[in-house]
Amino acid sequence: MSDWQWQLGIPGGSTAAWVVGLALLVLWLVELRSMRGENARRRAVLATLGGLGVLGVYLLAIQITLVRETFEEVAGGTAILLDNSRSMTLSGSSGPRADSVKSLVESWQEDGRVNPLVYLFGSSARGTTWEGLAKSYDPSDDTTNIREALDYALTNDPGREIGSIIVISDGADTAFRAESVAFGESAPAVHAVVIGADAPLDDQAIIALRADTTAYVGVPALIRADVRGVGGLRQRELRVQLWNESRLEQESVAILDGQGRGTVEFEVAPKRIGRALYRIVIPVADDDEVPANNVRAALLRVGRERLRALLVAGRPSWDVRFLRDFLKRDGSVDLVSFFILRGASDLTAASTNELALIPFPTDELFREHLGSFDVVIFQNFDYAPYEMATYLPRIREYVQRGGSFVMIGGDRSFGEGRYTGTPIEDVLPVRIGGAGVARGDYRAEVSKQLARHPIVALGPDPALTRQTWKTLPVLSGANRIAAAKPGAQVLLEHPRARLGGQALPILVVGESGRGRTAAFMTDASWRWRFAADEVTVGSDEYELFWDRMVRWLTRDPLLEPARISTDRERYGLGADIEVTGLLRDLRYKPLRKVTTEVRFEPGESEEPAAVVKTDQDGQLRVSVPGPKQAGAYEIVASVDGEEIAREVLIVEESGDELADLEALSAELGTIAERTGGRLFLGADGVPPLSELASSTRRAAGLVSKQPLSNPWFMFLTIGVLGLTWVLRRRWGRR
Amino acid sequence: MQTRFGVRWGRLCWVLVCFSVLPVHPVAAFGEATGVELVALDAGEGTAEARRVTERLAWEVRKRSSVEPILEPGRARLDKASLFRSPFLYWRGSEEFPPLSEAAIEGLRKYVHRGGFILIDDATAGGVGFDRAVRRELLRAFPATPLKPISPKHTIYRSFYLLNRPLGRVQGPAYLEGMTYGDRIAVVYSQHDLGGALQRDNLGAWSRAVVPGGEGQRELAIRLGVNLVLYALCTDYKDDQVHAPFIMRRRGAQP
Repeated sequence: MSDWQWQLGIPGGSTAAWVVGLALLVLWLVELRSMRGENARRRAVLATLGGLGVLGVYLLAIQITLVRETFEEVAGGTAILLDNSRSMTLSGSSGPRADSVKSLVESWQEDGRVNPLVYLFGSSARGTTWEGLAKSYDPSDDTTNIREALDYALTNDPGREIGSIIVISDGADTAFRAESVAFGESAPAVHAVVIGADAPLDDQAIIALRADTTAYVGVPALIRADVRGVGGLRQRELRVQLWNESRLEQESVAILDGQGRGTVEFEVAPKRIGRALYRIVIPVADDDEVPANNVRAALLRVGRERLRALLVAGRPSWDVRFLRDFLKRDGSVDLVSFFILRGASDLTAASTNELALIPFPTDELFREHLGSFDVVIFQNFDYAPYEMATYLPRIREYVQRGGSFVMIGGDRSFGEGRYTGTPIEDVLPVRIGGAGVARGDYRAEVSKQLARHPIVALGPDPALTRQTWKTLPVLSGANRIAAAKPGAQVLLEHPRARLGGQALPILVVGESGRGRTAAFMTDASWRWRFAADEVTVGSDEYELFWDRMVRWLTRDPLLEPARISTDRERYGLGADIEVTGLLRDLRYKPLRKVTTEVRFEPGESEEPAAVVKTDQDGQLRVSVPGPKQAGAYEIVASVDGEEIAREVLIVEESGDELADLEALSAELGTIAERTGGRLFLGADGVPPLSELASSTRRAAGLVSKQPLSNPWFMFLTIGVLGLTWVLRRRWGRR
Repeated sequence: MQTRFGVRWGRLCWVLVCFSVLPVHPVAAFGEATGVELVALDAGEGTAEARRVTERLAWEVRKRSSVEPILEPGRARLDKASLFRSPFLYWRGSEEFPPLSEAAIEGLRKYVHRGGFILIDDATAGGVGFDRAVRRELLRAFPATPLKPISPKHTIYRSFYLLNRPLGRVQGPAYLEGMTYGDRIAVVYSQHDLGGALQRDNLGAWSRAVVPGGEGQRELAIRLGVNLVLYALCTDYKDDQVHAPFIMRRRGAQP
């Protein structure tokens, strides 16, 4: 009865009820007043009957109505979350997990009373159709994320029409925790069917591989493999091997805990710069039901712990001093510097033993160790007096094989240093020509088209960059060159001096073979670091400039004009790979709305994996299906047939999805218990869908009644009023 | 007469030697603004003498090493922008001076902070006036980094020549004092009258006698001056690993 609510049926509502009530009350009081002088008994009878009559009229007038909302139960409101990850393809003693799912779905579809919503889930959830699900089910996702699937189902039901959710999964999501799912007060019941829980696998597996993605030549790096034995292989000895390319390098036996888990560590010391591929292998036991998860790969990008820079200066100067100080302070640079302190014509007035001078170790630097340097800097250095001509071809080869080289100006550089026609000129981005100097003070200007280049981009945008360069302390003097080579980039120019009708280049950068080079035609950049207050002190700019110079020359990925990355570093066979990136041209201008081809190397076909357009900001975003063969791949982005960025990834037969594939029922069981659902271990014994499906309560309309609007009450009121009238007449009143 | 003739020939030979070490390259740097200039501090009285010292030091450095300093270096004031014309400042004095202005103290701080090197030379070689005033002003400018004796193992003693101790016009204390700023010594204070050992008169003769070691001591004083300029230019370059084995061997070979 508490559902009933009363209302007034009289037009005008409560106001009219008050008016009518007061009017009747006044009428009754007037009647009482007119009965003065009557004896008390008659007066009491008439007053009572009159009051009851007036009350009856009042109740009939205001039309009291009782109202109640009614609901009805309707069938449906059921969602099925179906695990679409590759672990569902595994076979246990009761057959493939996917077959169990298909059988269950087919049996449910025979009962046509329920038409559930169906969501497939792996790394993410998406809807699919109930019709034909048993035939179309082909699990292929590379990860399992139960929490995201539940969240997806709950957030896609804002009207709370879903009364029950049925999760069909092997539960092989070790990261899933029941408490991480937030259910509201009117949460649907969550039923869980844990496929495979009734038929545990016999398996040894590498469940996780942890290795630094970056390693250094000669520096030990650790590769840790988390391994596990389950089922009948839990107690079996678990041997783990480390392979490098086709060589077995190390072998170890894992010590497993009570859960069958253990960790094996391998220490490796890469010998070469580049990529080093290591494979961790568990030799397959005869009764291992999932051999695919016995091999995983680790790809280490091998570099140097610190950049190695060789600075050779023709003589000490302030320019040399400030550059060396900067490079020495930079913790990421391992600097070897050599300055010519004494020439053949200098008179030291001392014997060799009284001097702290050493012979110029040309052979040591330029024959033995040249390849170990990431960047070689010639600062106002002339090679001829030191019999270095034989080493210049080696420097050219060093650059063309990927090294980097800078020549800094001065009276012993470029033409002044007689480098014209030498192998050094071959790799420099300028043609040197004859000797020549542009004298006088000037402020170097940034080339308009290249203000975004990281070496000179001292401001957040080209306008501020140009403004910053205008406020830096002046430079003094510059080496004249013949020309910038085709394809080279002139980053800084002389504001007045001309070269063939164009501004004299001050800083030119370019590429030679696989290496990068720079020609900086001044010996005065130290002035940016050491200046009075009258000009903007450029110490920050000096350090930024040289830091960027060294990093650009040595191909710091952050300073590359274009770069792409993948959402993960390792994938399963055929898994979707999310590729994102920022594409800019060589002038560092974003490549807006350009068609980009994305392909794998080595490729499985001539066709690109995807062709996509960049957005307004040059951002690339695309999902491509990964290779179907295990191995190390590079994903390459090309525009107009020209490669502009690449990234490394691993495709492995196992991957994370098949790593730890024991059917886990505990967390799903907790969810079922919290929501009033049921847990089933295996597909056998699962009831028909209609039993698990919910019914939905729906509003069916309003029910109302007027308890006093009936003939009996009306006759009673008329009877009371009539009796009152009869008694008044009998007792002599009108 | 014989002696005078001998002296004249000596002076002539010295001049010829100087010409013989002129640079083979037509230019030492692209301009005065980028050349190595050993600037003398304009401290009023005595500035001219300080400039003569820096001229002689520049000549000695050019003659003995590959460094090609500007041969007619200028002067600078602590409270003027001209202070930043070169990162090498030679401050010579012989008398107590009044406290520096706040602008001069600020200039001193900025000069060192931005990479400048200051060689302070007490021309009295042991007097109290200049010494007291210099210490006072350095303490004002750099209260957290007082002057300290420089170890005989410091790079200053092997930046060009291998030296065992500092010497100037006088023998003085067995150490130089220095103020360390970051990872370098930014201020070196000598109480050996280093400049006194370098000075020559207008005809090229040594102006002042060197005691007690005579010409041998003068040579060592010149070498110290050269080392200080090379240290200002190269800082701890001689500590680099490539030099260490050679220097260790030569140190071991020395008596």
